[in-house]
Formats: sequence, structure tokens, C-alpha cells
Amino acid sequence: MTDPSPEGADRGPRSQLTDIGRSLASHLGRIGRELPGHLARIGRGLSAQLTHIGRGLRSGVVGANRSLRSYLAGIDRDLRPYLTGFALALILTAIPFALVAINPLPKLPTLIIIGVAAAIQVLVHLHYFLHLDLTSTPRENLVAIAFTAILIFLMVGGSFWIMFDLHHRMSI
Amino acid sequence: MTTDAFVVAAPNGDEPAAPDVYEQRAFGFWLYLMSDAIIFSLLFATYAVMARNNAGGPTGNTLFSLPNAFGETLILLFSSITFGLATLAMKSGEKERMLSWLLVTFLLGLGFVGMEIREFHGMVQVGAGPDRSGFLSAFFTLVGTHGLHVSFGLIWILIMTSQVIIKGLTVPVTSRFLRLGLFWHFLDIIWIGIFSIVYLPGIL
Amino acid sequence: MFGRLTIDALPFYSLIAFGGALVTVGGALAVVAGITWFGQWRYLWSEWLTSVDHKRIGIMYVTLAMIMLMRGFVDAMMMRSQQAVALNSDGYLPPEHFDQIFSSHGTIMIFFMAMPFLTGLINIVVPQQIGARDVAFPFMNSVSLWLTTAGAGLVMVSLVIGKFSTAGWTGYPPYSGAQYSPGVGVDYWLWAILISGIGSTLTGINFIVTIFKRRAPGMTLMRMPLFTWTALCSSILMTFAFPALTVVCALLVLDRTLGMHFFTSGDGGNMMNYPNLFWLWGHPEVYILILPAFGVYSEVVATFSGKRLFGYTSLVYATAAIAILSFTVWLHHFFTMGASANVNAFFGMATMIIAVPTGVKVFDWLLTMYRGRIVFHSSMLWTLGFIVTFVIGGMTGVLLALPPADYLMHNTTFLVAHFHNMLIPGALFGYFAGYMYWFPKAFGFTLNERWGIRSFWCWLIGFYLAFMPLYALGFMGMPRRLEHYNIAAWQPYLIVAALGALLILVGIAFLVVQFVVSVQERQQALDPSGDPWNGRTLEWLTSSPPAPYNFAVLPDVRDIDAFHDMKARGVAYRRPDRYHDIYMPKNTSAGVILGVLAGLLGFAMIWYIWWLAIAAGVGIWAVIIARAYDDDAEYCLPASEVEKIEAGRYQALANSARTQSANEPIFSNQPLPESLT
Repeated sequence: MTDPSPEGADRGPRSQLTDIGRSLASHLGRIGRELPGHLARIGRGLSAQLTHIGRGLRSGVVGANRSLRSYLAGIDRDLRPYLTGFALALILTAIPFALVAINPLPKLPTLIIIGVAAAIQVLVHLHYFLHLDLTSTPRENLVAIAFTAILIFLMVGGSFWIMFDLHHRMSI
Repeated sequence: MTTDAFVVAAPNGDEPAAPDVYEQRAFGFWLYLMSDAIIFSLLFATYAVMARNNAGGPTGNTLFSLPNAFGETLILLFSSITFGLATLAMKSGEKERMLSWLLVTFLLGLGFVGMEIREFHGMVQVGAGPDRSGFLSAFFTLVGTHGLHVSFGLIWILIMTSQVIIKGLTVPVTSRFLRLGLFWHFLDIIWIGIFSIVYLPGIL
Repeated sequence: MFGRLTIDALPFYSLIAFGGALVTVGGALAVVAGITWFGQWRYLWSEWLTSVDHKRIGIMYVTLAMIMLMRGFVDAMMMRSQQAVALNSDGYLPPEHFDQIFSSHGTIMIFFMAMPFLTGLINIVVPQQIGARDVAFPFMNSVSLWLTTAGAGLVMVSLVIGKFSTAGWTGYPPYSGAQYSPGVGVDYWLWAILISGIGSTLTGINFIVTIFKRRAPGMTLMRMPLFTWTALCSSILMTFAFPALTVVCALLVLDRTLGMHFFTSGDGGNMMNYPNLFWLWGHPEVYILILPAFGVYSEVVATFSGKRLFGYTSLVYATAAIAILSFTVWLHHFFTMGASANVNAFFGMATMIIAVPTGVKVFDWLLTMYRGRIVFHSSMLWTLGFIVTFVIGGMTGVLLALPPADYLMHNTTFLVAHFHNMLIPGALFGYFAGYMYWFPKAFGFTLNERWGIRSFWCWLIGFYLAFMPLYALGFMGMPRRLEHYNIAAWQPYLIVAALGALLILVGIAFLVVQFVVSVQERQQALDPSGDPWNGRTLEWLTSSPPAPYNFAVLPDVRDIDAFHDMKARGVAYRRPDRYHDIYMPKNTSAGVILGVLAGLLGFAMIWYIWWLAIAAGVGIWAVIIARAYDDDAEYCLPASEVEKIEAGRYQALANSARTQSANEPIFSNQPLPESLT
């Protein structure tokens, strides 16, 4: 067979392990040296971040002439889906939890609303957080998730049908 | 401060562009998530089949706490947002901002796992452990598997943090981070299922 | 320190068990001794065990399959001989041992013979067929191989330390639960298939991405060879069905190890959920086994009829239909568990429907052969044997699909005959055909035809003798898995069946002889051109064996049967003006280390050696995390090196044109390949 040995292929296990050990040690050493500096910078960055948010909130509240629309328009393009998704998810979470906490409706409608809210929230997460949409997502990914959805329907639906049917007939 | 110019395995001159390994990794990871979705859906199905099998023991009604579940839900939802903020920071190449939001995400995730461990511990203390009944076996396995996945996600966050520090925002590192993002958001989606199918109906 | 492992685990309680252990340990020692004697450890480690080359990984998979075929067949011989003599007598196998044997037979044949065999063929062939240089995830490919091997290792270790499961290859609770099977047997079974199942899931993901993303330019999905199509559908089934197995095995592990109540008799367990979850995996699994075999048959029929496949589009749609429908029929494995008529009827109808696409395929193959110039190569013989015999088995399947009929025949030997009729002439003959068809591509020389044909006839006749009586016995009411019986009318059939098994043993022996003879005579059977059968698909464009990168220049695909098309246009062997650097993945020990750790983890969980389980678990994570830091996993093959390799290739091609007709008389009715300069 005329194939050249790839570099690193005919190095015995012991030298490979030594290499791994050495590189691990050097990485750990570097982390140890640089971590305090990074933590300090992160701390500073975080506090600057929070200050920035705080200032923004304050100015948004205090600056009465600044209309809501222009405020929203100023929000970073890429940030919008996350904020929209967040808002929708909060609402779709609050409704089922509130329904269970207060319990104004009979059981079945409550369960249905919980289910529908969950289904919608899943779609919200898929679209706003995972950026799934029918145009920009690669086709294979869409086919994969569609196929998975069909299979879940078959497997879970089929299992329910079978197990509850058996439950009725076999009392288990 | 942009990320490195997109590096592909050496383009071979007049050959068509070399295969995009990062796209392949993303697709492969997506497929793994699909297989994980099947695993979770079957755990959900098993839970649903066994939800009434409490063998004369405690039921969800007595064991589950609505405020606890709500807290866990909010924590995970916030962590999804903070992860998104970290991702945006990464895309504009701002390493420090990215790491700070990543740290917040980690703390939120840690809080979630902590709350869950406390809940499980409490249940075991009152004799409602996974070996008490079929219902409880299914509960602990479903919710525990999710919690285990979150824990692995936390470890992965630590790995990403160290990789960003050591290697910087190289293409392999950023693509790996995006896959962690897929994982993290996927876990939040599973959690929607958990509170909708386990906690809320259980308390009802 | 050793959990529940004690000296009693060693098989001194039975002569037969001791014999089995001796052969296992002896065999392993002989292999180790042989490698040491020939001083090949370094070579083995650096060229094979740490390899991430899909071709080498494929060869190792097929090797594993062949070894486990022997082990699984020994189980079969023991069962057949026991049943042939055990009329009103205990035979020579005590029931508990017999039960372990039928359990390990099924487990080994499905998980450690058939799965590795088909995965190996897919590994060797598919990247070449799509004009790619490698699979999408070469390292993960290596991990899959070693996880499968770890599972096989656990089953082999169970012969020496402890016992295997007596719950059948399906392991139904509550019998397989902690209460009724408190020993280690079921745990061996669970961990072996859990670990290898993860390997299969990863393989599925790997090949879906490879086939979708790494095809050569111009190779649209509808220009892919049929074997690649079936590999794609099998991979999709692997990715989406194995999670169900992972779930059901994990739940049973939790029941057994942590005292949970998923499938227990009391405390809220629901044992009927087990067959439901198990067969959610199990039915797609049998289609995972058969589809690649169908792919082989498609390739072999086209090549050895000298014709393009008839009805390519219908073959593709039939394959896809089978893949999707395979998720809608699983209840037919437990019609008798007690579901109502509506449920049974739905799944019975779905089962009958799924037979239709296979029928379409059979007609397509027959019509491909019609008016072709048939060459009776050994792989073609396996195909012809398959077409006739598999159709019989398919018909018995449609019969079993009727719930009322199934109530009579479920768990009788009729069922056993049916599924062996599917698996042996269906899947196994296909793998053998693939083995004999692609052997020269993998090794550079062809297999000896005479011995291959002899082996085929032994297998074919042996199969009929071994399993047709079982259909009759099933009608006569004989249940499966019987260790002894008292109905004299059954015995003649069982004796014939044992003779059939004996004939198959001869067939296996002939396979071994074929291999040995071929290796000895390889200089006379060299395949210098890389295209010994006048093939139609791209794998025949590479040298035999191929360079590590398969193609120095990625082929430009214009039609189905891309290679045939290139030959017809006279561009198949065109030499490029210049070569480029090629980047290939580096070998790594991480895959084999992960396999070893996974095996240790399984062993530790089986024997409750908790410190070892934790250590192995941590080790697995450490290796994975370490690998995640490695962003430099490729090496560069400089253009000059590529040029040297390719120059050798063209030299061999030039030589082969002169010697072609002399070496291959069976191709006297085929036109010679075009001029190569």
C-alpha cells in the first residue's frame, strides 16, 4: 500500500501521552496566570454593562420627550429577536402558571391551554432564539426537524394509543 | 476586533471550494439534538403513561411546588437571553462582554441545578424517591435527565470560557460556541415540556 | 473493592461453560501471542487501531463481524444439536445454559455481527461512491468502531467471568428485572447493547452529514448510487431509532441497579411499556439491517448484468418509503400482548403495506437482469439466492401480519423461521455479496471464486435444510426457545435442521478457506486497475486499495452510474495537469482509549464496582474534553507526495490494460476498458 504515514501517526502512545500532559500543563498554567486579570476585566465589564443598562433605563424613564418608538428603534438589530422572544415567552409562561395558581377553569380546558401555550412557546424559542425560519435556515436542518416532529408524533402518539388501549383491556 | 477571516481547509486552486467543516459540524450537532429530542419525547411518553402509577404513594399534587417550578422556569428563560447576549457580543468580537454574559448564564444555570437538587433531595427525604413508585421513577428520570444535560452544559460553558481565554475567538472556537448555544436553547425547549407536562398538570 | 465480583464468577461449575471460556481466553491469547511473535504491535497501533481512515475502520468492522459470526454460529450449532437429541431427554445442555445460548446468539448476530458488517461495508464504500475524500467526522467514526468493539468485548467477557442473560435477545421484564434475574447476565446484555448502540447512533449521524454535505460536484441526490441511498436511509433509521433503545435499556438499568419501578410487577411498574419501547427501536432496526443489503444487491445486479439499474427512481422512492413506514409497524411484534382489535388491525395493515416497496425492488432487480449479459460472479450468486429465498420469507411475513394468524404462530418456530429467512438470505447474503464484490477494492486482490461459490451453495442449501423444517414445526405448534420436548413427531424435522446447520458450518469453513487461499494466491489475483468487474460507480475509479485521500482530483459527476458515464465519455482516467496539497485527518488514540474506558465502565456497572465506574466515567469525559481542545487535527499531504502516489497509480493502470483479458476469462463477453493514455 502506498500511503505515507501521517505525522503524529507513528508516534508511540507514551510520547503522545507526554505531549498531552505537557500541553495540558501549559494550558492550565496560562489559565492560572491570566485568570485573575480576566476576572478583573469581566467584573469591570459586567459592572459597566449594568451601569449602562441602568443609565439607559433611567434615561428612558426620565427622558419624557424620548418616545417609546424611537427608543425601540434604537435597540440593536440583532438584539430584537431576543427581546421579542423573551417577552412572548414570559407571557406564554405566565398564563399557564397563573391558571394553575388561581385555578378558575375546569381541568380539561386548563390542560388544553397549558398545552397550546407550550406548543406556541416552543415555536417562539425555535424562531427567536434558534433563528429557525423558512428562508435562512439550511434546507437539511428544516427537513431534519420536520422529520423528527413527524416521528415524535408517531412514536409518542402511537405509544399513547397502544398503552391506553392496553390499560383499558388489561387493567395495568 | 472582528473574528478571524474565515479559514477553510486549504482551497485547492481550481478545485471547487473545500468542504465547509463548520457547516458540517453544525448540521451534525443538529442531528444529535434531533436524536436527543427523540430520547426526551420517549421519556415524556413513559412519564405520561406512568403519571397515575403512584402505588399508593405520594402524588405530584403533594410533592410539586408551583413557586419552585416557576422560579426554575424563569431562571432558564433568563439564561437563554443572557446566552443570546453573549452570542451577540461574540459576533461583534467583544471578548470581555461575551465572557461576562457567559458568566451570568453559568450562574443562572448553576442556580437552576441547585434548585433541582434541593427539590430532589427534599422528595427523597419524605420517602418519595425514585424507588417508591413507577410515577416517581418516571419523574426523577425525566427531570433528572434534563438536569444532567444542563449540568453537562455548565461544564461546556466552563470549557468555552477557557477556550476563549486561551485561543481567542478563532473560527473553531466560535463555531463550537454556537453549537453550545443550540444545546442550551434546546434544553430550555425541553423544560417547556417539563413544566407543561409534569409540574403544572401534576399540581392541578 | 470488586463489587459483587467473586471467584465464583469463573465458569468452573460446568464443563461446557469452562470449554467456552477456554476457547475465548485461548483465542485472545493466541492473537496477542501472534502479534507479539511477528512484532506488529507498533504497526497495528499506528496504522489500524488509531486510524481515522474510513476504509481501515470499515475493514476492522467487517473483521469484528466475521469473528462474532463464528461465535454466534457456535451458539446456533449448540442449539440445533441440543434440539435434535432432546426428545424425552435433557440433551447435553442444562436449561439455564441453553437459555444463555439463545440469548447470546440473537444478541451477537444482530448487534455484533450484522450491524458491524453493514457499518463496515458502508464505511469502506460510501465515501468513495460519492466522490468524497473522507466521512464528515473521522474521529467520531473511530469512536463508533471502538464503542461497538467494547460492547462485543463485554459479551465475550461474559463467557469467562460471570454468565450471560437468560432473557433472550429481547430481554422482556419482569423476567429480566432485578427480582427474577438477580445475577449479572441481563446487566452484561444491557451494557453491551447500550454502549454499542451509542456507537451506531453516532455512525448514523456521521453518514447523514457525509452523504448530504460531501458529495462530489455534480452528484445530485438522484445521481447517487443505490448503495449510497440505502446507506443514507439506514443512517437516518440509526439516528432516529437507536434513541429508543437507549431509553428502554437505560430504564431497565435503572430498575435493576437503582431499584426503580418502570417495569416491575408491582409498585406502579408497567411492564407492557417495555415491548412498546423496545420494538419502537426493534422494527426500524431490522430495516437498518436489510436496506444496505438491498443496496448491495442493486450494485451487484447492475454490474453483473452489464446494464443500468431498471427503475432507479422507483428504487429510491421504495427505499425511502420503507424507511418511513418502518416507524409505523412496531406493534406487530406484540400482537398477542392484548391490545384491542382496532389497534392490532391498524398495525397489521401497516405491516402488509410495508411489504409492497420491497416487492417493487424485486421487480426492478429482475427487470435489470432481463436482457442483460449476466456474469455469474459469486456475488451474483448470493443475489440470485437471495431473490428466490427472501421472497418466500417475505410471504410468511405478510401471513404473520394478520393478527388472528399471528395469535397462532407468535413465538413458535414459524416466527423463528420467518425472521431467519429475512436475515440470512436477506441481510447476510447481501453482506457476503458485498464482501466478495468489494474485497479487491479494499485489499488490492480478488477473492478466490471457486471457494466462494462452494461456500454459497453450502449456505443456500444449508439454510433451506435448517429453516424450512422450522416453518412446518411452527404449524405443528412447536414453541421457540425449547430446551427439550416430548413430541416425537417433531424430532425428524429438528434432525434435518441440525444437518442444515452442519452444512452452513461447512459453508463458513469454506469462507475461511477462501480467505486463506486468496491471501496465499494474491499475486496471481492482483487488481492493478482498481476496476476488476467493469464497474459503474465511482468507487471503482480509485486504485485498489485506494490512496488515503481516495481521489487526488474530485470527480465531476454528470449522470447516474457516474464512473460508467466517465468511461463512456473517455474521461475516466484523464491525468490532471497539476496536483494540490491535500489535508487529511490525523490518526488519534482517543478513539480506542474511549472504547477501552467504555468497556471498563460497562464492566464496572455490571459488577457494581463503583470506584471503577466513576474512574472510567471521569476518564471518558477527560478524553472527550481534551479532544475538544484540539483544533489542529489535520496533516498536510503535499502536492509532490500526491503526485508520486498518483504516478504509481497510472503505472499500474498502464500495466493492467495489457493483462486484463488474460486474467479475467469471465469477462470474455464484456468490452475491454478504453485506452488509458
